[in-house]
Amino acid sequence: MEVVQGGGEECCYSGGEREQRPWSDLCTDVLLRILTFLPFVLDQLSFRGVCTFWRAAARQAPAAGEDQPQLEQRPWLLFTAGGDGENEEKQKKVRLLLDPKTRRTYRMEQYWPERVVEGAVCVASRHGWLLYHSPPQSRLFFFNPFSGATIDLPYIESISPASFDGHPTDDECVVIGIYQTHPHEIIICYCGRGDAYWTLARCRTFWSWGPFTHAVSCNHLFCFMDPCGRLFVFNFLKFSTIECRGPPLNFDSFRVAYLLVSHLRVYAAFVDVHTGAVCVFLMRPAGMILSGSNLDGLNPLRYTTGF
Amino acid sequence: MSESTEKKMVRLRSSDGEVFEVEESVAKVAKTLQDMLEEDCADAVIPITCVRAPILTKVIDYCKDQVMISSSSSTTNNPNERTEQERKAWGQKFMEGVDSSTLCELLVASNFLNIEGLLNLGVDKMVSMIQGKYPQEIRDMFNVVNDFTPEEEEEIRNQNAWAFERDPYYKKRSSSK
Repeated sequence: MEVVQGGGEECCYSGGEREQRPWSDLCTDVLLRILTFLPFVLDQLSFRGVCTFWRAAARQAPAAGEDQPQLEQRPWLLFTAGGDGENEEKQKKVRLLLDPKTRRTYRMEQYWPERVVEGAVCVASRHGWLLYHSPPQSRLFFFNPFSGATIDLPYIESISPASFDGHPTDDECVVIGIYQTHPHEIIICYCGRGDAYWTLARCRTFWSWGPFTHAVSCNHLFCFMDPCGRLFVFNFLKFSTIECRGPPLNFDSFRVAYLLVSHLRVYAAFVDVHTGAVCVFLMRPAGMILSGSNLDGLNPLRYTTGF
Repeated sequence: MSESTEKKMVRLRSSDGEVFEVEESVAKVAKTLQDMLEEDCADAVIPITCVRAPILTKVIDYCKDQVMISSSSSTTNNPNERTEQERKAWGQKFMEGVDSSTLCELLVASNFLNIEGLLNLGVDKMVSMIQGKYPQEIRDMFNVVNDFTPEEEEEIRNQNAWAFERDPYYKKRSSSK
């Protein structure tokens, strides 16, 4: 009996006339549940801006835009606003955020650290965090555009491309990238969370490398790709094995290639520059398999022959 | 447990004093009540101190429906059994016309009585109402008072400036065509 009378205290409501219920009386766990089911980052920010009680409740949840284990976040696209002449200086401080579902764009003018505005390049993004490379200081750092938090990484002379595996605030997080010293030599640079230095693995080959344009890492595999669409895989648990995997594709036609990670799987997407047709391959231990395409009017069989 | 075939009834009293008589199986949908009934610590009338009569009616409606589904789900070819889609549609219909203050009370009631399914329905509804809104719109909709100090407000404004200013980028572009 006590349960009923005592437990309800926090959300208790003195009856009588029908009046507007004060929403700030909702229990913290209900509010938290609502927050974790908001899939879009800006809605999470709005939620936090409603009142002090809602904001306090939200402190128990992961920061806005970060992964929540319960639910998939809706993806967003962040890009710079182009400017001309006098606008250029001003536009440097502007970023636009696109919500692909509603096709709305949002604008953000403040809040960007100086080095992000002054020439740092975003080299990777995941879990709501961006990985920036700032050439003047030759430093890599993480930046969370929604909380404003930054995490600095140890000095590295040069790195391109780079990628990270795991949440930047997790102990398992690993940043990995390539430092090319010679056409026949690359150094794979690897830095775990808390490391003061980078670990380097030198790879020499008969063929000439890169320049590499894309890199992703997932499940202890680091995958990188050159502009020809040649894909290389490095296992950073075993710290060995560079394999070269070519997608079964005819490269006379496809020119633009992307690497992406989704649901812990690595995909390679190839775009036909002339027709815009897209071919997506899933990376498997045995090789790459075609997982989807929109080859309008083209015969897909033509593209599944050997590379 | 009583041996009689007659259905055992439970009486619930809302915060405004109205008494509802429901079958025990219906009351047991609420985990909080189930625990009490199983421990046999329920008196003749169970007071539900934080739930008003109109809300309790709605809660009981939900529980009755759950009993109807589960009682017949053991038999095969059950006409009451719902597909995922039907369940969704039913949930939507159940929450249809629920205004924001009723929704709040339903959330509080289902959380307090520990009715997972109803709580999920309420949270879903709430999420769909919040999506795409500015903080001020959310406050207006749910009648929440903005109790931030001007300094806090400024800080929040700086932090999520873009949540407040929708970008006219696309509009400008399309209108300049």
